[in-house]
Amino acid sequence: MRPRVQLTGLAALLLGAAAPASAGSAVTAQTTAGTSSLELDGRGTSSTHIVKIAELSLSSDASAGLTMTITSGSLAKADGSTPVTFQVVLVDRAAQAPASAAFTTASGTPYLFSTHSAGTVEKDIYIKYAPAARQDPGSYSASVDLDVMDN
Amino acid sequence: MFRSGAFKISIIGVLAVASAAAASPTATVTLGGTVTSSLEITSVPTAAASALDLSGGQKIVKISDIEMSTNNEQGLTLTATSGNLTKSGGTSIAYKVTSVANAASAPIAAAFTIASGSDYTVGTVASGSVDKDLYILYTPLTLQDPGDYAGEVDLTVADN
Repeated sequence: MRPRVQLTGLAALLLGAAAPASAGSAVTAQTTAGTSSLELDGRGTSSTHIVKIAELSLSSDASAGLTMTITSGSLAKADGSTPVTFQVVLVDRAAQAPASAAFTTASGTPYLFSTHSAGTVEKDIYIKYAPAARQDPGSYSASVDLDVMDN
Repeated sequence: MFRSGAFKISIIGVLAVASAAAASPTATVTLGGTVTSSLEITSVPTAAASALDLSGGQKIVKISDIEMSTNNEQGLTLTATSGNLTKSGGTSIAYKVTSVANAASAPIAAAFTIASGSDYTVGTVASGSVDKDLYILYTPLTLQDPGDYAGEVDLTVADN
């Protein structure tokens, strides 16, 4: 009997140690290949691009779930030439790419996503952008920031 | 046995929690891409360019229709060389170069401000396409040595 008691005590100790670190909501983003080499035309023709940029795993142990805020903005050049604005939207993991009309949050406005219970959610994040027909040549960059918090 | 089973379940729970705890409440996805220059020029020589009137006296002749375009927001610069129509054993005929807007009237002699042998340049200040007509001015001698004369105007565009 004594060994069993000791094992149970160890398990309780581990749980106790891990419990503080588990508090709160979390997000991990697995960036999609090609995100750093987006197709930017702009050499006389213009087209709209809808591109998956990351796979997201969201988790929350809060009973009311979490809210994630995603930024959007512009792919910009260091010299301040006309940037390329982009919008973001989420779809379920491995769902089809969203239609253009699904991007309803304006570029520059935070995109919000909420859950209403504890647990994990898997999502894919897409961006939509359209370079100008004559987009200034050079390297463009931007970042998308994701923040989650307990509801 | 019951206690042993409970222990295993507890351990699995700890591992799952530890994995989630490795995540962060923030993440960043970095985006990037490159636009390449669409700079280009096309030149369509006129028929007159290869059949220049070399009779004595000043001539102003359209030699080419030029189309240029770029996506560079600062525009482009066209450089055209000038020089001489030459013939082995004959006196060369210097020519100057200038351009006008597409289909505009031919330039007057005073519009040829760049000396023969120097580069003529003309630029734009924004992205887009622009069409130009390229003209040369030359003055054969009244008694120009007979034969075939040839010259060449090299056209180069560069993004500003």
